[in-house]
Amino acid sequence: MRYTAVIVEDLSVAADVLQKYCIKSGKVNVVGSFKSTEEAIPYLSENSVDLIFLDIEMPGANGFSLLDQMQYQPQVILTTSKTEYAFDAFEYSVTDFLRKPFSYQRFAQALEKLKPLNEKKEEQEEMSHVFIKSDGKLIRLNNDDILYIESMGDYVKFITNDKKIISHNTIKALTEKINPDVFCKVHRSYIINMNKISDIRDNTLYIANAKIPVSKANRSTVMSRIKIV
Amino acid sequence: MQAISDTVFQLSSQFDSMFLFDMHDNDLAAISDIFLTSHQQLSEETAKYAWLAENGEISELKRRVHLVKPLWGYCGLSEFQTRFQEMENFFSANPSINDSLIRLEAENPFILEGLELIKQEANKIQEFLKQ
Repeated sequence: MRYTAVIVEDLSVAADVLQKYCIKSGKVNVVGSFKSTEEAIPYLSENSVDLIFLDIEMPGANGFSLLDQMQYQPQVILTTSKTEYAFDAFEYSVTDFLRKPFSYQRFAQALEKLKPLNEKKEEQEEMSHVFIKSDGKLIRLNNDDILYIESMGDYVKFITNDKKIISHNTIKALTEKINPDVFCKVHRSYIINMNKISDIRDNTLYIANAKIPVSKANRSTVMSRIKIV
Repeated sequence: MQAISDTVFQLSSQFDSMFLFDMHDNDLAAISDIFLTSHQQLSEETAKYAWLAENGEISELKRRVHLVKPLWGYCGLSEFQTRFQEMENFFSANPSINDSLIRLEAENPFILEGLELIKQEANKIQEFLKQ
């Protein structure tokens, strides 16, 4: 089973060499090659890939902004000619950081660090839902069904489109367990599903007609995660 | 495709031949292609530098130095890549137009030398492959 991958790289020589390495490895199937973040986004929003080879400094938006806009988390190998991005690479949990130009041997080492496909898929599956304890049973809730979570002291209320489920838990504890790509703590009493925001006005955001306060401390985090065009 | 005679060809000493042969599986034609593509792109890009400096487009100049910098490395000329990295660092500090032009003038012989090396080596490989 081969990793499906895209290359996002503005230097055609670098993209060609990378493609050659992928073929040589027999482990990676390159399904697209793009010269900028802006070119890659439409493809990646409609197609799921296992791996992105990503340059950072490109014309227009940089490589990290592509990762900010992704709706899912493929594995990422950064390809750059600068080492200054090592800290950001760590923040984005990238698999490896290749300094251009790199040898085939170094490329092969990076591939060895990739999570096996099954493990990655299992992890994604695990992060796609939560089980919550309520009324003496465990109820499965898909992330996509949860609008937001509201604190009620020692309890929390999970709000979906058609139900409200109360569970013994705290916002603080939940923050560490839920999928951080989907959810965001916006206030000490609220965690929201970022994909469900309908609008934001000053320090309030709206999800399905509910008004949710955004605290000063969390406002910059929320704003950095929404796409403003 | 690997030519049988590839193993006989010796790249000039300025080039990191081990890296190049490893990168291209000893395929001389592929190395020549990289040289020609890189030469063209480096020539086109470096020709814009003076205009950008004269017009105060220092941040664009820095971006363009960064863009083509790895091409030297892909040609097995790591010393030139390092020099371009130093140029990039210089322009990142947003120097004045005058300082930028002085720096570019100082770098110009070095850039021309690198371009000539790549061109000559590409020609040598092509002559060799014709034999």
